[in-house]
Amino acid sequence: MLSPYIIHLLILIGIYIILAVSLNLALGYTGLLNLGHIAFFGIGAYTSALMVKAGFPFVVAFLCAGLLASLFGFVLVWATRKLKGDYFALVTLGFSFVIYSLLLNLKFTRGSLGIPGIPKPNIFGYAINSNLSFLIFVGVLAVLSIFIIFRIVNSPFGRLLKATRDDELGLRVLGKNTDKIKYKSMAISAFFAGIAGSLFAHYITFIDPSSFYLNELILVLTIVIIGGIASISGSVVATFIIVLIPEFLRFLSLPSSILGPMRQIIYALIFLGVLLYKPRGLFGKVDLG
Amino acid sequence: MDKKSVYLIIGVVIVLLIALGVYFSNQTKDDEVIKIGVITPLTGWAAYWGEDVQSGINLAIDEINNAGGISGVPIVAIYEDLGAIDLKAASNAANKLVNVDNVDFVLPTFLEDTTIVSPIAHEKNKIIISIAAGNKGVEQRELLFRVRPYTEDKNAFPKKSIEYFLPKGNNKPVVLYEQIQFYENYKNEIVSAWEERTGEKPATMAISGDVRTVLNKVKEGNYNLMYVSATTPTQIEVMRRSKELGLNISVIGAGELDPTHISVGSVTDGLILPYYKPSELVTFSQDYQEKYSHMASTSAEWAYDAIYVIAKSMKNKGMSTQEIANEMKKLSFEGASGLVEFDSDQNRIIDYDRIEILIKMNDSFVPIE
Repeated sequence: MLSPYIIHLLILIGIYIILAVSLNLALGYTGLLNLGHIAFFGIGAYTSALMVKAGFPFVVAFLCAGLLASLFGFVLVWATRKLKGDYFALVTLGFSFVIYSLLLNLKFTRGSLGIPGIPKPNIFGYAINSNLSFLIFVGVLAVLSIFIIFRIVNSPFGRLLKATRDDELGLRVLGKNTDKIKYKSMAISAFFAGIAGSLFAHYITFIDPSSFYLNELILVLTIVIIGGIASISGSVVATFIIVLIPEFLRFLSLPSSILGPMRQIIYALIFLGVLLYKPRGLFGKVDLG
Repeated sequence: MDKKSVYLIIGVVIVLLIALGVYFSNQTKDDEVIKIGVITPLTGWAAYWGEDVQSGINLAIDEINNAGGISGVPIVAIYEDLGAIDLKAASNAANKLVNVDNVDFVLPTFLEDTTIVSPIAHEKNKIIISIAAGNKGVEQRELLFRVRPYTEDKNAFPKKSIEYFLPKGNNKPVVLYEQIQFYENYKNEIVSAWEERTGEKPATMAISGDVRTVLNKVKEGNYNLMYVSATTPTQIEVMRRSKELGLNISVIGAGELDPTHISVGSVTDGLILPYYKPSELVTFSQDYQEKYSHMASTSAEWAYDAIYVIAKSMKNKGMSTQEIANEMKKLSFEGASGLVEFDSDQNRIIDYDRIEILIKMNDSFVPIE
């Protein structure tokens, strides 16, 4: 019998696996230095929470969360199609700030007051109320997401993604429309971030804009970098490590006055150690950028 | 990375998970102590709150334990970091405290974490005592108590300030607010109180980025009263920049007295705070000053009182959660932050007459003339 605490952590791990693997699709496999991924996560969370609170069935809200995030992903890459590398990264980071600011200031998102009382999912009359059933639900979706993204990156289209990342000009010379490839990659990546957001909102049951800001972006980027760019298995393993290490550190017996800072220092040192030992991350095959 | 290393990493993660699972599922309730789980910011921008909360709690626990604990059983506090009011951290901490540490009580700090923690603790039949969630935003639950005076009760704090300032001709207020849940709610209370009294809503401006931007708008608007519904560092920044800009206006803070207000010197001179007057019967202020060598903040007072709410309602370790909650509902005692009593929703009752208006002058806050 799993402890409720472990079940809780596994649920979060499942959600972050979907988020990290989908970021790796755009960042690792397509070479899009996307710093707007957390905004898609937020769009998904708010869309799903607001729709369910407005009376829509969870399944509809869940799909809309993914689709709306996907639409934003497509529009973001379309609008920035002339930009590359650092410039693209900066614009996508700006997109994260814009979405955060909108969530903070729009009336229907309730600003900093957030959205409390988000109900647990109800799928065709079956309510997912217990954490164990939520874990099974998240687990199935995480496996499904990994499977779909794995199939994508290992398909002919996946080879185009990697070619876009490695030699975009060469691919254009061969007559391929790399813009279209990027639109598709980003739209798929954002879709999965959106559904991860929906799962997060319905699990935590309260969201506010602070959950979709820089701290979370850094967390997901850390997972992808520690796991390794362009490595699905890396992202999965790194999610376990990065979510679990701070939890293990909770059990260190330290005086309360230094408890918080010491845990953070140890956490940072572990990651520095990993990156010094494995500069491309645990399973990385390519360099960032 | 070679296959051997991959299997090693995956193996280590799985073994750790199984070990933790077995360890946690074998955890039993420790009858030797009364465990209180405290979720408060120990790192990040809000850590100054967490420090005060810890100081208040540790002082109360020392006093109670030195006097023999609760029927001979000592109290221990287990602290968990909330970070920069991180909802995920709150959820993780609550799950750990409730399911692993098996604490008897959970003490979250703010509105945001109370909202997250409350259902998790409630599901495990644990009493939740929120230290600083003083207005709406949290779904009321049978086992949720709040020690911060419930500011929304008849908009008591803004009303008191209106009572004082309106007759003096301060009839054009502006409310600056930070986009943090409590302060946004408090801003709404100020607006409601003014609208109710004068029929007009005061102007409101969100503080983001450089405060000089909003202060220049305040200057142009010729307002004669400025509320700052914001954290202490932001209140101080507003005071500093107001003086630089030569903004001659009465500034009212958000009702939390903090040693930082004093330590920054003359910058905060003239800052006005509606304050819930503590009882003179309680020696908390002196004891706190003696132990920590600085004055206590309001949040330290609430945290201290939260521990006494437990100590005064729990007669022995064997009491059920419901029995303790029933005792809490009946409580009435003079705490560090004033009279501690709860209404039927377990919100802290405010005695309107106890609210006084303080002004910072010469390194201390004194009642305004």
